[in-house]
Amino acid sequence: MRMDAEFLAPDASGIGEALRREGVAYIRNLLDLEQVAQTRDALASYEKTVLPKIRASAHEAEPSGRLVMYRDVERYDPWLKDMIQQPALMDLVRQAVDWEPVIYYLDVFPKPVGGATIGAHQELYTVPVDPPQLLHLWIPLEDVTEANGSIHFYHGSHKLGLAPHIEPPGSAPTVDPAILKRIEAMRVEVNCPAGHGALFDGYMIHWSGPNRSDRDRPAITIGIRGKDTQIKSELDNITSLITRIFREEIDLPTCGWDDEFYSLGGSDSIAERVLARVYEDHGVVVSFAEFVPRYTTPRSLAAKVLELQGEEAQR
Amino acid sequence: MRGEFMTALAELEAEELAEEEAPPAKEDDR
Repeated sequence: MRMDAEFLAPDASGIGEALRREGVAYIRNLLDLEQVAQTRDALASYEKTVLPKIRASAHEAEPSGRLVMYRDVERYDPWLKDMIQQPALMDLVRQAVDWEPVIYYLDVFPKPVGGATIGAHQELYTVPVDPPQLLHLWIPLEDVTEANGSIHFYHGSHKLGLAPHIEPPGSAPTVDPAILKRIEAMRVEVNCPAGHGALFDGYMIHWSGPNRSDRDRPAITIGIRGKDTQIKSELDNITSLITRIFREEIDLPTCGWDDEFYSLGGSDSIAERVLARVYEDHGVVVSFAEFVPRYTTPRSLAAKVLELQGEEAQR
Repeated sequence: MRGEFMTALAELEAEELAEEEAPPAKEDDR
C-alpha cells in the first residue's frame, strides 16, 4: 500500500501512541530547509575529507564503489554531533517513550544516483541492546519519492519480535523473503519531504527502494537507545565481524567466537585472505607469523586488532 | 528467537483468519 503519511508535529502528543501501535510515527519539520542544506554540505565535506582517513569498517559500499552507508559520524564531526543533539529532537523522543533516551550513533545513507535497494531488516538484529529500547529517527535530506527510493515500513511488525534474517556473504543481513511474503499486507510505502522523518521501533521491519532518479537522495539516521541499556563492547563487535570473515573464507555454515581456525578447516592460504580482509576492514596489520601461534580464534584475533588500533591511535 | 517470531506471526495470522471467518455482526440483536 502506498500512503501519504500523516505527519505529526514534533510536539504532538500522538507520537508515542503511533510508535506503540504501528511501530512508527511520521513527524514533520524535524529539520528546516536551511538545516537540511547545511547538513548536506557537512556530509559532502565529510565524505571527501574524513571518510577516506578512517577505518574501512566505518562505511559500506556497493561493488561498484557507490557508498551505501557510513556509521558513527558523530564521533568524527563536531558540527554534526551538535546538530543531532539539539534539544528539540531528544525532547520529542522523551515524550514518546517511558525510558530515558540517549543518542547512540549517527549513521548516513547517501543513496546516490543509481544506489541500490537496502534490503528488509530490523535494527535490533544488528544492534542488539538489552533491554530492547532502541529507536531510529530517520530524516531524509531530499524529498523521498517512489523514483528515488521510498521507504517501506511493515506497520505492526514491531510487535512480533526479532525476525529470522539471512546473511548472504558480503551483504548485510536481511529478513527472510518468505517472512516478507507473509506480512505483505502490513507493508506501507511512504514518501517523505526533506526535513520531515520517521521515528521507528528497533523491531520494525523496513527497507528502501533503489534510487532511479538523477539526484542523490541522502538521509541521516539517529540511533537512540535507553540510557540504562547494555550494549555490546567494541571487542564483541569486532569479534562478531571477524567470525563472519572466518565463516565466509572457510565456507562454513556457522562459526563460534572461540573456534580455532585450523580445526575449522582453515589453511595457510585462507589465513592470508582472512588477514587481508582484517587489514581492509580494520586498518591494522596482523602478520601471518603472529596469527598462527596466538590469534587463531575470532575472539583472540579481535583482541589483537583492538590492541593494534589503540597503538595506531597513540601515534 | 526465531521460534518466538514465528509463533507470534502464526498467532497473528490465526487471529486475522478468525476475523475473516466470523459471521458479520447483526445490526440489531434486540
